[in-house]
Amino acid sequence: MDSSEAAGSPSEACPSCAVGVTPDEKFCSGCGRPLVRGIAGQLIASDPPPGSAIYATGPAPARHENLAKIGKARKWLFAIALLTILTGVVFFFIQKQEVETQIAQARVQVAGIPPEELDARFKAAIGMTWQEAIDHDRGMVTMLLVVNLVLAGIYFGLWWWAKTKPLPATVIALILFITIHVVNAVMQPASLAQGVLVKILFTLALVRAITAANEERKLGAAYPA
Amino acid sequence: MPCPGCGAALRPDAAFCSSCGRARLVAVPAAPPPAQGSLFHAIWLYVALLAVQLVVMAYARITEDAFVADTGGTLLFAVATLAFYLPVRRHLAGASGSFGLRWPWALAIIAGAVVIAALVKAYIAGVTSAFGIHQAGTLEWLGDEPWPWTIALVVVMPALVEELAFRGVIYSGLRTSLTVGESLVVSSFAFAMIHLSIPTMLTHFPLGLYFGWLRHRSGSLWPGVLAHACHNAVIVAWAWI
Repeated sequence: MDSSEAAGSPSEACPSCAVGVTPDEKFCSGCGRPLVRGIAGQLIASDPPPGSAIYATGPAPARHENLAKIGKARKWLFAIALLTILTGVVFFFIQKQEVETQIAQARVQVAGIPPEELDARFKAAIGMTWQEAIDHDRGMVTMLLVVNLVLAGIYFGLWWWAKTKPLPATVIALILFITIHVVNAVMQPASLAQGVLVKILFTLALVRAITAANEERKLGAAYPA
Repeated sequence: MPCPGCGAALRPDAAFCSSCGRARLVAVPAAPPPAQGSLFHAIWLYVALLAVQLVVMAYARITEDAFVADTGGTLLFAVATLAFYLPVRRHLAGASGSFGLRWPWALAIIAGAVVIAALVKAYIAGVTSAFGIHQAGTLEWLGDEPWPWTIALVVVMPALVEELAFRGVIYSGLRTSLTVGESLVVSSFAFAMIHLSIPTMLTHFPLGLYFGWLRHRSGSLWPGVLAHACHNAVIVAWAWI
């Protein structure tokens, strides 16, 4: 047999898993067992080398790295959920005070105007009556608190889901997080600098976890546990 | 491709290195992957659409011209979607070719849209009254423009472009890495978030699931386009009445 041909195309079958092997191979490329030959050169069934069983079925080094990245993103998710509750509550009290101060100031300004005329003026300017405008401002503050608590709930949910399904959970977390923060940046440009380091680090941790979880999925399909 | 452990050439289909016996950790596709997008193709399209939405929002805030912002925004949205659709168009050819469902389904979709739009309306009215806030109408300019323009901008274009983006490019990209259920959840979440409102997530997320389910069930984008257009048409008709 021509030697150059033998190097490429398998001429024998592995005795353990029947995958084709070539004479120059020392291990089977299908099951990882060493290719042991008898006196006549025939292949004989062999045990897998020590440790190779772990290699073939257990987590390998690269997978440890992937799992570590996913674990890190999960810790971040938990922290962001707590942070969202904290900032939501703090902002609620700050804004509540601001709105009440503004209402008190406005009350002083409109002190002399009869209520009917005041309502008419407000209706013309912003389409609401005086009382409706006050309710609206107060309602927006409460609404923001509820929105932040819902957000925190979603982050907690994603943290939980990422335990079993890291890929969809981290993709959703990334979509949620970047949307919230770029919208905030457009609505209130001053908010862009707030906690900018946390924002960048969390985004990076999520992107790394998505890449790792994506790789895990492909590996999982190639090497089912 | 060389073995990362010993440097020997690996067979394309090898699970183990035939020189040193190490398990191969990176699966290499047997054939070059077809142009079908990927998880990151989907994520990048979302980022591009988000950028469009933000430009539109900033423009509307600065000029207070909601009509020009919505018109320009619709066009930019379409351009961004097409830019991501064209490289993977061959993969999506099947999804845009036929209606996918038998035509009696179309009637069910149209009837369903009315019910869904009514639920959406009721929910928004409920939330705004519960908090005592006055909803800033996003369709304030509706009455000022000729009606065919409104139909094109609110009914036809969003249905076509958003379905192509979320149920087309994004859903297909996600499907390369995620299961059907996960892809539906993630693409619907993205669909809800792109509308830039947390309170309406409760309406747009189920809507996205519904359109996505139509896409999955029929294998075509068109039932979703029909459902989306009907839903938006009912909302517009409501605003006109």
